[in-house]
Amino acid sequence: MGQSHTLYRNQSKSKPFPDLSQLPAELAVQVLSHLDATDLCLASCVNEIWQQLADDNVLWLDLCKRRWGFTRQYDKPLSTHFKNYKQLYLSLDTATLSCRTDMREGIVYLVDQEVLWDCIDDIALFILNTSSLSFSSLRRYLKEQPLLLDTIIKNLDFQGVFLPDAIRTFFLHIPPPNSLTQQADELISQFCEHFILCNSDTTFSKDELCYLCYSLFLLSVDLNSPQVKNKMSKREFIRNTRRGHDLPTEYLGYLYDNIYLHGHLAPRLI
Amino acid sequence: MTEATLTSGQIKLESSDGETVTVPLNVIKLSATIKTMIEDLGIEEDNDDVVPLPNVTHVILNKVIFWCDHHKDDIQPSEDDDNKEKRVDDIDPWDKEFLKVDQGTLFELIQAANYLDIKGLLDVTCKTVANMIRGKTPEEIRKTFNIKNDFTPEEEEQIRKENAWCEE
Repeated sequence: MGQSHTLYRNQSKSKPFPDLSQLPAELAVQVLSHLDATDLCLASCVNEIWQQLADDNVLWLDLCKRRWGFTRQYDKPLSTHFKNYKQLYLSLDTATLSCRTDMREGIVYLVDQEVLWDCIDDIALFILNTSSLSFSSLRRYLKEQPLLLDTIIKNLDFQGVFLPDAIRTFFLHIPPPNSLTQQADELISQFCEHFILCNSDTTFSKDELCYLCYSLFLLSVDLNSPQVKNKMSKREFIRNTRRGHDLPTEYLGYLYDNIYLHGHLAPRLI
Repeated sequence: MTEATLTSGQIKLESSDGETVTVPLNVIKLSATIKTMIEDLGIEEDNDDVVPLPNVTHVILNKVIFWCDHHKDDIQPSEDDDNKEKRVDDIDPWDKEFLKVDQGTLFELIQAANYLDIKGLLDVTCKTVANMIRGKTPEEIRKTFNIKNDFTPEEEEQIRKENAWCEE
C-alpha cells in the first residue's frame, strides 16, 4: 500500500506543473470567461502567454455586451478608434464613469469615438441597454432633453404586459421622481399614454389608468415601508380604489397580489 | 438504438493506458461524444465492442464516470441557458468536494470533459480554475501556477501601465 502511494506521488511530480498555457487555447479562454474585467487585466500581467489569453477579443466582446447592450461597434469590424475589444471596454467604462457626473460629457465622448451615432435614437438605445448608469445624473439629463425621454419611452414595449410589471419596467429605465411632484404627474401621464398605445384593446381610459397608477404607488409604499405598521389589506385596497370609480373587483385583486408578491414598483430611488 | 437501451444497457470503454471499464449507458449518456457515437454508429448494447478513448487515462476516466454517475439524473440545462449571467460562486457542494484534487488532475479533467463533451463537468472544472485566479495579483497567480515571469522589467512596466485601469 505504502509503496503504491509513493509511486503515485512520484508520477504526479514528474508531470509538468499545470498552467493555463498547457490547455488548448479555446479551453484556457473558457476558464477565463468566468472572470471579470479587473481579474482579466491582472491575469494579463502574468506572462506573455497569459497576456495573449486574457486579452482575447471573445472575452472582452462578451464583457462589453453584458454591461452595454447597445453600441455601434458590435456588428461590424472595430473602427479605427479601437485596436481591440479590450480597448472598447476601457473606453465604455471611462464614458460610463464620466456619465456619473455629467451624462452629456459621457455621451459626447462616445459619439466622438463612434461608439454611438450622433442621433437621439442611438442615445436612447444606449441608455435603455446600459444598466450601470447613475439615476441622479440621468434624471438631470432627461429634464433638459424632453425629446430624448419621449424616444426612450417609445422604445419600451408594453403590449400584453400586466400594469404593475409595466410600471416596474418603466422605472427601471427612467429615474423615478423623488417625490410625488408635478414632474411625477407628467411622467405618470406619459407612461399611461404609452401603455394605452401599446394595448389598444384596453378598456381603461387614460384618467382611470392614471388613477390606478397612483393607487398602486400608494399601495406599494404602504406594503414595502417598514415604518407603516398597519398594512392595507386586499379588501381595503379594493374598497378604497373602487370609491368613485367603477373598476372590476377581480382585476384590482390581481393588482394587489402582484404588489404583495413582487414588491416595490420603483425600488431604485437614487 | 432506442431510448430504452440508453437507459438500461452498458458499454465498454478503453482508456489510453489500456484498461477497460464497463459503464451503464444511462451514466455515460452525459457525454455527448459517446452518446452520439452510440446513436450514429449503432454500437449494440452488451456486446464485446470496446470504445477506445485515446485521450483519457483510466484514473481520469474513473473520476469522470464517478461524476457522471452522481449527476445522471440532473435536469439537463437547455441551450438558451448559455445567455445566463455567468456566476462562479454557484458550484454545488458535492462538485466542490469532488474537485478537491491536485491541479494536474483538475487540468486533465478539463481536457477529458472537453473531449467527451460533458458540458456540466467542463463548466464546473473551468469555474474551479477561474476561482484560483480571481482576486489575485499577477505575482500571486504566478505563485499559484508556478509560472516564470518572462517579461523584461521594461515590458512589465509597460504592461502594468496598460492595465493600470484595474487598480483604480
